Amino acid sequence: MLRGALLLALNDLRQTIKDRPTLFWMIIMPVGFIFLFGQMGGGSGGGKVSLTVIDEDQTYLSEAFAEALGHEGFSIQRVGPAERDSLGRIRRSVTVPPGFQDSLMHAQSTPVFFYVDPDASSEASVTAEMHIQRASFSTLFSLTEANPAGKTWASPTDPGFQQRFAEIAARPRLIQVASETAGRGRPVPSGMRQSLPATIALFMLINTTIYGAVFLATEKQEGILARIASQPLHRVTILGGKILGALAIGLAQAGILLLAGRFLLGAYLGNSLPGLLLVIVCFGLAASSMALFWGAILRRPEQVTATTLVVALFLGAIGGCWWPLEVVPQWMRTMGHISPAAWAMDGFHAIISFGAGIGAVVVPCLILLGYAAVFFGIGARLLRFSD
Amino acid sequence: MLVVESLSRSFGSLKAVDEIGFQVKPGEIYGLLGPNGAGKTTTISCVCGLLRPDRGTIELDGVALESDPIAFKRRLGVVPQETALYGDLSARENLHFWGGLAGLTGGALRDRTTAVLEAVGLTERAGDAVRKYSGGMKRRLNLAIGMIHEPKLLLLDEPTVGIDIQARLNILDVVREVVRAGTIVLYTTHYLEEAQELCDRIGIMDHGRILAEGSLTELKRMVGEGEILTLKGRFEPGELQSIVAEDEHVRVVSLEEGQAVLDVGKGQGEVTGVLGRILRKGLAVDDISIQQPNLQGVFLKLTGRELRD
Repeated sequence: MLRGALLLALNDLRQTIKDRPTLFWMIIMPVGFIFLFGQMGGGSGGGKVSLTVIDEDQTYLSEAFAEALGHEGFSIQRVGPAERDSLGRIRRSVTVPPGFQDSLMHAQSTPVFFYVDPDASSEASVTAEMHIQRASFSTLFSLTEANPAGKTWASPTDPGFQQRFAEIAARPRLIQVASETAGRGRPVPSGMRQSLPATIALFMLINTTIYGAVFLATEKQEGILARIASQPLHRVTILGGKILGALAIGLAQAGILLLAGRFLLGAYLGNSLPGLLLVIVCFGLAASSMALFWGAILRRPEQVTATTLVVALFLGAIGGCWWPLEVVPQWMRTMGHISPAAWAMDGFHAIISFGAGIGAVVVPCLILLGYAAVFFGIGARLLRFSD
Repeated sequence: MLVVESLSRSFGSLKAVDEIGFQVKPGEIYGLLGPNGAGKTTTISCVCGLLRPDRGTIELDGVALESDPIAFKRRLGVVPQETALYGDLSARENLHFWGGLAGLTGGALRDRTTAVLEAVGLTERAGDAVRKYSGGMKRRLNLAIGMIHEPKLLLLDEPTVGIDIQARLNILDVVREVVRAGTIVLYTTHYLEEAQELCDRIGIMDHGRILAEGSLTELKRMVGEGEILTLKGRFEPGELQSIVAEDEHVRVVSLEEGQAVLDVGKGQGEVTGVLGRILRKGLAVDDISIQQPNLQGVFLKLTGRELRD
């Protein structure tokens, strides 16, 4: 029984691979979506914010300030004024002007200039400004402590001063702010933390339902399904084979996007790969059963393509594949959960954006399996092997 | 032995197959002959388990389809009317897939694939995608798939529709070869010549019933050896009826306005005499055809219609 189902499933997968538009629909287009929508929302979101320090002072204190910025979590690139022009377009930069050290040593005010490219993520830039302020305070405190009141100000070129300054700068802060979200944290997923799971869910839904249902409708129309039914196979084997075939297409789609997202685009996948895979399998089963349902109730392959594409796009939209459900009103969020894509997105976000483990995906997965059971039940009942 | 008894199947109020029964021995080709809509494909669909009959039983070598469908289907090969093939796969890939579903594996699958490709003359094109094949090549592959697992019963549903004469001859040759190995063949067609040429026994079907059954010789004998005279023109049924009513050699098979089919008894010059009497009475006849006693004539006598009507 299992062998027959596997043969049917592998045959569907083989036909999908042989279909020329597959390359576009399953690889080029969704990977492009992940990149495009990910960039629109702020990139991979998992790495450090880049900051170029243009050091026009080139002194001990300007270097110490750059180091303090590095401790704030920036990815620092420190360049001299001569190298500025060779860098091309810079997203964010801090310019330390000439005379920075002298001004500080004479207790005079000195500006540093923070430049932000208009195309850079504004959210990251606001955060960056706050960290620049912290680095300024940190530098000033170290300088003040290195020169206790009542003593002659030491020269920054003095090795003794430099050693004392470095020791103070490296010392843990006496007051540290520990912050945590009260209750359940629900930041709005953005960047690739939204675009990767959203594209996986949307394209699994589109490709699994279209390919799965079109195969069924075509085989019904061309008499192939009737011929399969005349083979020594139980009806449940045939239905199982068709579901497995559609599931294999969905899993292949998800696998391609996970690998491309992680290794090509540097997307963050959270801390529970098993949880992520569980959501993918359950969502794949729901989508495969929907393919069986559409293949059973629609006759012609053209009807199937048009209907399933529109339905998948709609379910994707209300299910949070085009924009996160966290930004829509509560009633839309509730209504969106008629779509299996919404439950898949809940599972994906729990792991990728909210740092949860496999336990957080149990409820979404059970609901997705419920969708699979309902659509399979109706599809299996309605499917006729011949027109 | 294939035994079909009291088979009936309706679609709503339409009785597609009505209480038919027949038996086919190993090494025998049984032809179901009839026009489109006669019930041939419904019969085949019931025998291959695709349609559940309303009544009746189907057994192959003592295995009943209803009680053990898997065992029955293991002995069954089907060649459907449609060329049910995967166009993007090659002939070899198609055969591997279908052979696998039929239960073949490993070396046996490879050997049978090679053998049937050879039998239908597709070895050289076995690696090409099927969508590049001509209609005749697709039909030959369709046949090869049906016989890859060496079934006890091969169902052929109009296997030569729409193909050139060369491909048709090839298919008929392959079928004869299969039968020589002891396979039971159930063959549906609306090509009279094909049925005459190929089938050991023929069941003539119309409106869901088998009207007559037997070898070609038996069928001819069953309906007499007279010739069939078909007249078309501008006459009323009553006019012709009055002319032939007293002629003991003439039997009216069908009679309607402007068309009549007459069975004229055997005898030297009988048809010429009857025709002369009709024309002398001034009946407005525009078209005359005389049919020798062959399968077409048998069908015409049984149903009053041409097979392709």
